[in-house]
Amino acid sequence: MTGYIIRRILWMIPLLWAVTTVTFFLMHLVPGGPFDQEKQLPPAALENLEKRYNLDKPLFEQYGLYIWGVAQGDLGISFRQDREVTDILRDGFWVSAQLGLITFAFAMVVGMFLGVFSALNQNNFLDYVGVFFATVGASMPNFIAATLLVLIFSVQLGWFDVLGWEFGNYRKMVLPVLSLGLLPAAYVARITRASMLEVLGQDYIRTARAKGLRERVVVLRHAVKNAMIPVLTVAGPIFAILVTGSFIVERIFQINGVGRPFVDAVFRRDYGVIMGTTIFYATVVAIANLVVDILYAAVDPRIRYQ
Amino acid sequence: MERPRRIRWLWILAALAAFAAVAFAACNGDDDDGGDGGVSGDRIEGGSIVVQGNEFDSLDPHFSAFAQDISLQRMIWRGLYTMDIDNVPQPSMAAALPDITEDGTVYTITLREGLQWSDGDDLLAEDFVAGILRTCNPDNAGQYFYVLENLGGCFDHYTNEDGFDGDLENLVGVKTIDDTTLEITLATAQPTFTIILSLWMTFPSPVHLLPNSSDPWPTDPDELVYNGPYMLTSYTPAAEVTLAPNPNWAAPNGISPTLDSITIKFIDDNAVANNAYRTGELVFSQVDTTVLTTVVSEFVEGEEYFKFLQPSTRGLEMQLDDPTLADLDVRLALSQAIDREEHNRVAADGANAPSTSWIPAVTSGAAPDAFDDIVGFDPESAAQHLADAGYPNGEGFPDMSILVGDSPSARATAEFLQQSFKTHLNIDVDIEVVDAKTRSSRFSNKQFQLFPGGWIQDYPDPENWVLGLFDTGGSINMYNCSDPDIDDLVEKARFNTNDAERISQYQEINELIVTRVCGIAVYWHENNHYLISPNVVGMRENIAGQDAYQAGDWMAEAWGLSE
Amino acid sequence: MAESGVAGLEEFEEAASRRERGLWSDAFRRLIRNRLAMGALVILVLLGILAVTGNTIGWVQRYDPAFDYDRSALKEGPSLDHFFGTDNLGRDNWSRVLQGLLISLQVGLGVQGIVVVIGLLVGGTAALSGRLGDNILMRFTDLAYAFPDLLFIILIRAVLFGRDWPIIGNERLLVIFAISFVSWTTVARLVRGQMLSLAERDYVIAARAMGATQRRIVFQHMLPNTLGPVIVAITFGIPIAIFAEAVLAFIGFGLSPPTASLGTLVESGYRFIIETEWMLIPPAVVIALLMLCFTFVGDGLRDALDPRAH
Repeated sequence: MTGYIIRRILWMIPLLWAVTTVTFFLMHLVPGGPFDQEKQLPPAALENLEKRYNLDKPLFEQYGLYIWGVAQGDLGISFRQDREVTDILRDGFWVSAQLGLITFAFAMVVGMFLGVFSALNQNNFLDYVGVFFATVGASMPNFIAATLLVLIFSVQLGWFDVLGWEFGNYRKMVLPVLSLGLLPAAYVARITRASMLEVLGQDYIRTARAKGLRERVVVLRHAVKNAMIPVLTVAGPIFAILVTGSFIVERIFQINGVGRPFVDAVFRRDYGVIMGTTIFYATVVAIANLVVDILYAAVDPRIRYQ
Repeated sequence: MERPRRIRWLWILAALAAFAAVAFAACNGDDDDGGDGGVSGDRIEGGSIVVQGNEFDSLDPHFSAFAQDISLQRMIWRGLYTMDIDNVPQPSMAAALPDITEDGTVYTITLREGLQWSDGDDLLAEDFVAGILRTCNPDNAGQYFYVLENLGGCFDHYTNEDGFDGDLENLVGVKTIDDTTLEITLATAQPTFTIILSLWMTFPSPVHLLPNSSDPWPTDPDELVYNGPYMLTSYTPAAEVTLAPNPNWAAPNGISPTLDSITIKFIDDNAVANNAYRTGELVFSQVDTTVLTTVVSEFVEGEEYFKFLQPSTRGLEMQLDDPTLADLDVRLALSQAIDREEHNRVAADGANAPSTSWIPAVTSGAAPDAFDDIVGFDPESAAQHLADAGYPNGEGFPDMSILVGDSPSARATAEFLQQSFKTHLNIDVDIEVVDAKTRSSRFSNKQFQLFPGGWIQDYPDPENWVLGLFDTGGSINMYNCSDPDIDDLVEKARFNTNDAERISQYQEINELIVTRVCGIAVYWHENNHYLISPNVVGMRENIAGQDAYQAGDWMAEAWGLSE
Repeated sequence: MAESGVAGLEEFEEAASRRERGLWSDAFRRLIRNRLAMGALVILVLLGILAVTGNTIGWVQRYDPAFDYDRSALKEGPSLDHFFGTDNLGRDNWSRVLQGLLISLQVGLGVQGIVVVIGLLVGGTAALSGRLGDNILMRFTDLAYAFPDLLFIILIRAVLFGRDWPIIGNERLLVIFAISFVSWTTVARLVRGQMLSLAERDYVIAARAMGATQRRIVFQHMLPNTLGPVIVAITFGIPIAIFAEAVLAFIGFGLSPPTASLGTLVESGYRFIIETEWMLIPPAVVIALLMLCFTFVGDGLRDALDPRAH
């Protein structure tokens, strides 16, 4: 197991290098540079700007400089304010992680509750209510959900704020979490329901029931626990997606996470930020996958890694 | 037809019934205070306001080129002079207008007595000299250096191959005479130079913090000092800045801030900002003009909603190197196929002021309808021109495309034009939507055929609308307008010292540009639209057209709250 | 000996494929009995017919989605003339939604078509090509998975947009390519896993033991048995691709106007939400409907193909 984990971690190095390289060259292939603007700059200013940011050097030299920097932990700077990309990521990740973690908890709790609830009431009215929520939640792009939430609960009813995220202030927390969490909650609910139904049909549950165990004990101790394995596999990717920030929700609520700078940087051709966020994202996804695999082995004793 | 003013949101509620319960649980009937209208009361001391802004790219005034940067910089720093609401330079940090020698090349300027930076250090002549030297320093890559091209030695230093050079810097024509006096030497006389001494690229640089002109401008508010009415107290990148009054503000115009703080929230999406304005989270916001009709019906004009004509013109630019568009008949046909009134109503929700004149009337151009007979909407004449060009009823008209950015308003304009050309000329044009940087780079490389674009005035003179833009080979003449009559008039007008004659020459040029569709078929001048809360005072009185991109241009020191 | 061996193999294979036919027809019967899935399938077929006829037959379409406009009727609600009302330029929402439906279906199906081809190729090759090949291909898959989806789609689209190349020059195909590029990894992993586990199944081992060629085994036994899970994955993948296109449209990277996809329609509906809900409701409902129906059909297919779940 330890050997497996070490190999997986070592494998991340060439993986990140490849991601960095592909993104670097792809990004420079995109037409238009950081200093193209509606009112063009005089050539002398453009020249000095390119010198200032090393953009006058040949592309391969720039690439070499960048990789050298990354190897030393320097992700480069943003053309906006000359801010260190690592600072941008640190500040943004702090916010995105708060929002992401709370949303993750929301999605898992609501999703699993609904899923178990639906499965235990299979094919009766309550099941349909649960399924209805799960499918409606998953069938609305989240920019629509977010907009409707804002129009109703902020503008019309005045219950919550339009802007922002502030940890501990419910007026600034409820709507972003709802908009972001609806889709994953619905997804988790579906997976849980399907998995619960499968487990409830298994022999050992029948045995447990036959032994005369109380229904609650059967459900909680045996069924739910075993039904969690498939949920765990989707939890990893959901977690990675949530904590790396959502461009859409961050834009609609003007939240300062890592999702917004990420997409904005592409439009601004802010090369340093594009590279930094890509590396960051790839790292988080790789780690999340690894953690899921390890957890998977811990929960399901049939799985062994060599 | 009466438009519903409120959202019919019953259906929305139905759709959201599933998670309404969660929301109910989370809230305990917090009451909305609501923003009731009404006339402003008397100013009160203190208070804080939150306004919408856009994030700046740089805090360094000697580097910046963007309106949002400059708006903020004008709130925290001031130059020797400042432009009043009529665009006339008035002394600010300087005690009086400059002493200029007979030949107009040497300016001697004396500072006010007892000026101080916000940290208590003296603000001296050397600080202003340092500011100008920073702009001319190639290592700083200041984007507005060219405004100082006429300043002796500045251009030579800026364009030095090897970057900063101490000897070249010593040759730049600005020096201190004593602690409160500085002297500026120009290469040639330039009557507008006092205006330039009011602009951001000549703002002072604190020598006690940045002894060398290559020292990087700090980005942390705590490491900076200020000489404007406000100082930065906090900056959260991508989110907001907070300003507090500068205790050492010299108040040259007699106005000092009464607010305790101003918070500028960076919000790019005006729809979001408008919602925040509606809930009272903001007291100032730009209007989301895609739904202007609704906003206008919601807020009373003159009380909360304000509209201001911007010195800016937009139209359909045409690449004259294109063999089809080189034909004047084709260009006239396209121009006459655009119904300006309808375009403004449909594609812009009535936000702008339809026009056919390139130079706006406020800048001694022509009235908006001056050329309507020649290039204005006239479908029959348009069809005739197209037939004259050899494409009767659009037959045989080659492939053509409109290049636009990805904003909703740009798309609406492109679709409107496409429909107009199809309906009135029976020709098909494609629409290419690209992001802003691609659009700009395609424009600079002249890789376009039809391109909705335009111009925003830099300074209030008709020459700003012509030089470099329409003269053959002009540096920003991307549509390749090349007309001997225009070139001839530009030659005459450029160095004409008889102002009345010069203006009338530019008016002639304006007429030639428009009637010969030399690169652009003009369709409107732009308006700016704002929402200002009724309990804010000192803001709406100072709205000015020039650079009115953001509230920061409007004398922030005068803003306050009323009862 | 040899002859009897071959005859035995053929017999065996016939029996095996009879068994497989039985599997498929069983699955089909189970699917038919699933009322939710069948209902969803019927709706999908109807939507498909509507999408095709609504872009070819004049009396279904009623108006040209791009060039029929009524400037005196902007952003109006539904009427007998305009079933879904009109948009901000006075065009008929009904015809635009029909166009959007067709294009979104093309995007969804097109993306999954490419995904299946890449997924089968990469996953299948990995499963069959031994340890080294497997390692290389799966590491490659890891790599593709590690890219941030949205960024990668945006970059690819920005790099390729406006180039005068065949195929790529078509904007719709470009969007399809860009989205498929980031979505094939799941199917590749699935195919590989499925094939590896099938290789251990009794009847495959038996077939091998009886001298069946590798090719025969792959095409006769393994591929057909891999298809089930792949079909399920595709069914779930289609609405996800349609969503991805909608998100691109929201960011400003949708299809160029006047072409309407459900994504671009929803995006402009969203812009005008405080003035009219009729630009948003119809395309949003159609997206939701597609999402729901594909999900139900996918659930139904999975249950039908994998009887263990019951």
